[in-house]
Amino acid sequence: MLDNVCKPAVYESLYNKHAKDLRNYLYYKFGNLESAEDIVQESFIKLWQKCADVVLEKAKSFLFTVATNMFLNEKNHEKVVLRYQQIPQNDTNVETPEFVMLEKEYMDKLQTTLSDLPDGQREVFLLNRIEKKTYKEIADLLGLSVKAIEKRMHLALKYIREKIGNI
Amino acid sequence: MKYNSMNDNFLAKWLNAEISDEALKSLIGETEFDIYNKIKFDLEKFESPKFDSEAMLKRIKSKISKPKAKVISFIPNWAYSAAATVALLLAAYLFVFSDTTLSTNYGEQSAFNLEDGTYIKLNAKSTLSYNKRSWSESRNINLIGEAYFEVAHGNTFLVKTSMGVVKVLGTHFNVKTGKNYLKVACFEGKIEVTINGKRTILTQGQTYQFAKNTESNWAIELAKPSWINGLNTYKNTPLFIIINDLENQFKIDVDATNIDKNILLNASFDNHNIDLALKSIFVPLNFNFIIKNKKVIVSKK
Repeated sequence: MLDNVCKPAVYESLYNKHAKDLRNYLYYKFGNLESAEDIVQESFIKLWQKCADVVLEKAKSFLFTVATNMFLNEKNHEKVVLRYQQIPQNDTNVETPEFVMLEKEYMDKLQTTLSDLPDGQREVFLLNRIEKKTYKEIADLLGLSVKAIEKRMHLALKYIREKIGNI
Repeated sequence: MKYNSMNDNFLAKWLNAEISDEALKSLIGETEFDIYNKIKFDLEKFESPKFDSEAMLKRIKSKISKPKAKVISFIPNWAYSAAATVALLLAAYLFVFSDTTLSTNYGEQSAFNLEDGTYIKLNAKSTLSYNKRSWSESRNINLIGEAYFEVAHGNTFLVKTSMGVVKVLGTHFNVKTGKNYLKVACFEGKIEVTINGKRTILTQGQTYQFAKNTESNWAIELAKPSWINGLNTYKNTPLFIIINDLENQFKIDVDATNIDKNILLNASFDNHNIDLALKSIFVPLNFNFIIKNKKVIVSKK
């Protein structure tokens, strides 16, 4: 019982390790940022209350399971809206206003497409592309095989390409 | 486009750099490749919303640091070896007589509700206890330190302190105890304070203080005690009571042997900022103070 979840230092290291991933996962999956953060908070409080019953190795899956269930039980899903950086404007830029406009249109479309990705594919795709998680890490996070993650990544990119049409 | 098992999920493999650009090009053609490549590139421009990790951890900590109700048991050692009947009798005894204790540590504040709906907020380093079993017949609370009460209507509600007893029917009030010190502020309703057999009735908006065998009264304007919102305020209060609060709030040890701690003060301090708090008490008095690892030495200028 050296590394007990009830130890404040262990608990805090679990928080530092998983809170952000959990928040992003919930956000990518369910779209509602505020609820995602509330639920991360509640999940960690629950982990503290149950700290004597949860072994350290299971803490992560405990958090993800509790959080997902909470979300499924109480929350309405919304669209994920990711911000993107504006195209840098500088003096050496010779892009025409039309190009800039088209580019903006295209980025908006890409943004909408990401929001519209099917459930299951969206959180996997965004965890990889935005959060730079490896397929293995995502597989561990969600309790799936690497093969299943690959499948979702493939289908997600294919879906985006189809929605984008011809550029 | 040709498919074989090697090319399963080839887009995922390409994103993961397991398949080269050239290989993808030969698989899907240059035009398609260019589109995929642009998408991959542009995805880099997206970012996740900011995450304020520290702020959330702070909120979590404040929620989980609420005091856990614990039952103080009075089981003597010999009971463990006693016969089952004795254990049974003891269990019955404990069931009826054991007290529930709630307490806060240095710098903590904590709020909770009792079964009858009474709301209590405890200030730093304070303890209260009551008997859960007999609560429905007699609402008695023992208090050391300071607490604010919003009492639900019902039976007589008694707050017992080392100095005296505060009796209410249903009201909002604050009780502060200390060595030879009791202060009771009534925010709503009517309460009765008894010290050494002498009864004083307080109505809404009145504060009663008993310090160094001297009584005083004054009117209050707030709807709740100010410490709840982070400011400890004092009127005609002996310095040693204020020093005691500073110690409880900031977990410090104040050495004030060289000054008169019985002087009465009107003062206030911010209970989040130790430096500011010490200054606001000692600077107006023209005292010097130095902080040395959790010890504060106060002296005359």
